[in-house]
Amino acid sequence: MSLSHFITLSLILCAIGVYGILTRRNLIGILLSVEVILNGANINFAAFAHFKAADPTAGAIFPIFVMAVSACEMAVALAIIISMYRQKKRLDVYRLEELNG
Amino acid sequence: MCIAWRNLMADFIFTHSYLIQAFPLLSFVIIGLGMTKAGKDTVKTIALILSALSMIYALLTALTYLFTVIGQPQLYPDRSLICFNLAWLNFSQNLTADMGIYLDPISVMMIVVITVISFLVNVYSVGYMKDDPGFNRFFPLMALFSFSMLGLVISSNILQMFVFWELVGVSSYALIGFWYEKPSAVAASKKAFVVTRFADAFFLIGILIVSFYSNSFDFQTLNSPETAAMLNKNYLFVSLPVNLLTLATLLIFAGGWGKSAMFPLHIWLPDAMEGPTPVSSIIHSATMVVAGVYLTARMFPLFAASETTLAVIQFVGAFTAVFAAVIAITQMDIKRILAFSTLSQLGYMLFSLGVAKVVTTGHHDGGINQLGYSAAMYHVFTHAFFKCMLFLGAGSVIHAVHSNDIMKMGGLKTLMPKTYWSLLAACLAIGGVFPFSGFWSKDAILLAALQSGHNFTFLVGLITGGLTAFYMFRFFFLTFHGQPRSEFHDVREDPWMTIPIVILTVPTVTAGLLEHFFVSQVTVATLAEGGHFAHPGWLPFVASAAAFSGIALAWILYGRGKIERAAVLQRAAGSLYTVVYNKFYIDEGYLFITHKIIFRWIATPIKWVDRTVVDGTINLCGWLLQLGGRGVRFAQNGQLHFYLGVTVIGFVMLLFLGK
Amino acid sequence: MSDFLFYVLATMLVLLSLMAVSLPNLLHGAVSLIGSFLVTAALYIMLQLEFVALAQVMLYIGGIIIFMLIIILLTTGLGEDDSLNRISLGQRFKRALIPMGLLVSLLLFIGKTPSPLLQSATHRAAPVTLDDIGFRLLSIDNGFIIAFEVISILLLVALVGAVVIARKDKDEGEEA
Repeated sequence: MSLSHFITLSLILCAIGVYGILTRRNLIGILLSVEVILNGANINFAAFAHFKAADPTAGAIFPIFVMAVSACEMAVALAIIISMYRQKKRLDVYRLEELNG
Repeated sequence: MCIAWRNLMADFIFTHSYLIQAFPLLSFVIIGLGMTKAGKDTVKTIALILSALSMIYALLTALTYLFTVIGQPQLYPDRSLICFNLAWLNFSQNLTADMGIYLDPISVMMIVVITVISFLVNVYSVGYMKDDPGFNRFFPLMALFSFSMLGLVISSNILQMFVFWELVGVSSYALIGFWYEKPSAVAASKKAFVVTRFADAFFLIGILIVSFYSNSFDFQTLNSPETAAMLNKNYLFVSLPVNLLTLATLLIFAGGWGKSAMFPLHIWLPDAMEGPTPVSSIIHSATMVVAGVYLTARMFPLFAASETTLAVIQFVGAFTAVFAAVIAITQMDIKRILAFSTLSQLGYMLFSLGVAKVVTTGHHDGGINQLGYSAAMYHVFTHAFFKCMLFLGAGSVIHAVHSNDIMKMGGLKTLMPKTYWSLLAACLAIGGVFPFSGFWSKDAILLAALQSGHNFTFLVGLITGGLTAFYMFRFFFLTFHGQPRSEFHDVREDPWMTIPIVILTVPTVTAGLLEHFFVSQVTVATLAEGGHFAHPGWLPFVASAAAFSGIALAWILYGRGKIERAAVLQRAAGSLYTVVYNKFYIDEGYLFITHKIIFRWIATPIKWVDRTVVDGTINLCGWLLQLGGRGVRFAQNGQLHFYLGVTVIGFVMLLFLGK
Repeated sequence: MSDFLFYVLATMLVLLSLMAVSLPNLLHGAVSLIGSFLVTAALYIMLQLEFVALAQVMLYIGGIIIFMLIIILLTTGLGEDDSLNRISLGQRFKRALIPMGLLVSLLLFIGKTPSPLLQSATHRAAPVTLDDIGFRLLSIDNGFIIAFEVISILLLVALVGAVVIARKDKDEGEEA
């Protein structure tokens, strides 16, 4: 249980999340994968806070902030998904191509 | 007081001398741009009025010039006057091209000739082109020609002259191909333009050489002895010694070679007869083709500094004179006879300029014989009037008979009397019979040749004189005498056409009185005379004898319109006759060279390079752009997975880059 | 002992995350994500960050993932992914290469640099109490008061924004 173990764990979680983004065809599936990435990042923060922080209180506060921001982001993302579902009746990433040029 | 008033008027007239050119330009702009569908009467009135105004102003300028410049030799020692000079293009700090008007004896003489003949031909055209659907197109083009030709003769520097030189070529092209539905007319106009343009390329190189060395385009600078001395250096070109002065002057003369249709660039002038007859009469007899002679006269001091150039001019002129005369003997088309006659007379003018330097004897450099110069310009003057008249008369005959072939004519003496008597005067003039104008000018030319010691050229001129008389009277007798050889319908003399011809009889007969004036005043003032020359008394008699023998031979063969005796001679000459009749097959030679050599070996590879290399490069650029576009379109496909994947890959790459 | 616990928790976390990203049914994926959040909370307790573990359970499981479950149920029928065909296995393998590449390069990057950052790895920090956290969040000179306030505004903005984006458009003024 050393720092490098935790770092490796967080990297593996991030990699899993990236794989999920590239593989999921549904927008909500992509959001789930984003949650996985954020989770991994949070674990990274917490590990460093435990093993290295000269200021343990700050090391405990930061993951809170990350969670708060992640909550906001989820709220907005899901609002967008609802709006898109209403407009297009589908959430298939392959069919949503308005950003093409 | 009177003198002050006169000087004031003279100043006014000279300052506004651009009006001489402005009136025809106005005519071109108004009729050509505004009135292509207007009524014929409007067009006719405007054209004639503006042409008349130009003529009146030109005569006024000439009179003023006579009284102020020639009348006051102490004020104008070289008898020349620059009316105004505006800087136009600045090529470098030292070299500026100007636009100006330069009056000296030859330019004043030319503006009189051009404007008078232009006016008379305009009057004639009203009758000749009466039924032509292109009536409204004809007069602006003629006005454009007048404008260009006037600009050519009054230019103050060689670049301005070149500009108008090309403009004259364009007007000639437009007017030769006037009846553009006829393929032969189109071919002829192209031929004229291409041949003269080819010669003009060399002209331009000559201009560049002289202006580069002398840092000026002005005629006064180029004709000065300093320029001649500066250019008179020998260079080695591929181990051959080349004198720069000779090279430059020969190149400049090349422009005149083409424009005045000297052998071997004479091929365009006979074909130029495809244009309407008024066009032939003004452009291809009286004015444009003498542009080469005019150029030589204008640049004479520089040309005279190089003996080789003058020798070349003399040889080319003399050869063309006799060559064209021989061909003219056999031609059947009335306008072609006159075209070859023009070629022959142009040869006279040029060799007269060429003999203006005395043959060098021993260690003395030949002096200048001013008579050669004056005689050439005098012949330009007289030739303009009688040749114009001949063409106008031929046009009347063609209009009446509806054919160009003299073998179909005959017996027109009673049907067209005014034309008959006027053309008789013209033929006598061109034949050189005393006291008509042509006698005096030809006599002066032969005298100049004799005085300068060029005896062989004198002989050639004499023989050509005899030939000239012969073929002109062949033309005259076959057209007007004897019985009609074909059916004529409704032969009338249109007054619009006959009056100018009759008017032109006056200078044809009386211009001989001006001989003394020309010889004394129309000279190159900046060059000194090279000594006193004798005037052999036997000369006029020998010349007249040549003329009369020519006329007599024509009378024997063709008098009373009989062609049988000539037919016998023709059969006897056999193949020689055929060769001469076909103009020595020079046209065929040119066609051969053009088609077999230039088209196949030069034009085809160039066309290949143009299609494959040049177009290919541009197509390649377009193709590359399309390729890029396809690439960008691939990357911007709107697929979220693609974008995210590329982002992560980019991040990884940055990681490695950062290391 | 703690090592063994760590490995067990880590393996569970990895497995649950893998299930979250690859299960075809979205509801199943969401539920496995809930499991992964619980295991993460356990890991935080192992790291002696109890408050963070508390916040993890309350915020993530109690807020975010519930919201996501609602949306999944609203837009799909019981979590079935309504796309007609999923990405084929071959494609998935090819796309797995990218995160593998990422992982490998990051591990190499971290492993190659001998950094003092990773040396004193077994140092344990002092435990943190809730009072300390509260004081730090709201103190002016040494604390995170500004970040605290900004985050509260951010939450308000996100709330309003989500409502605005997700509400039904009126009939006039319709656009994409």
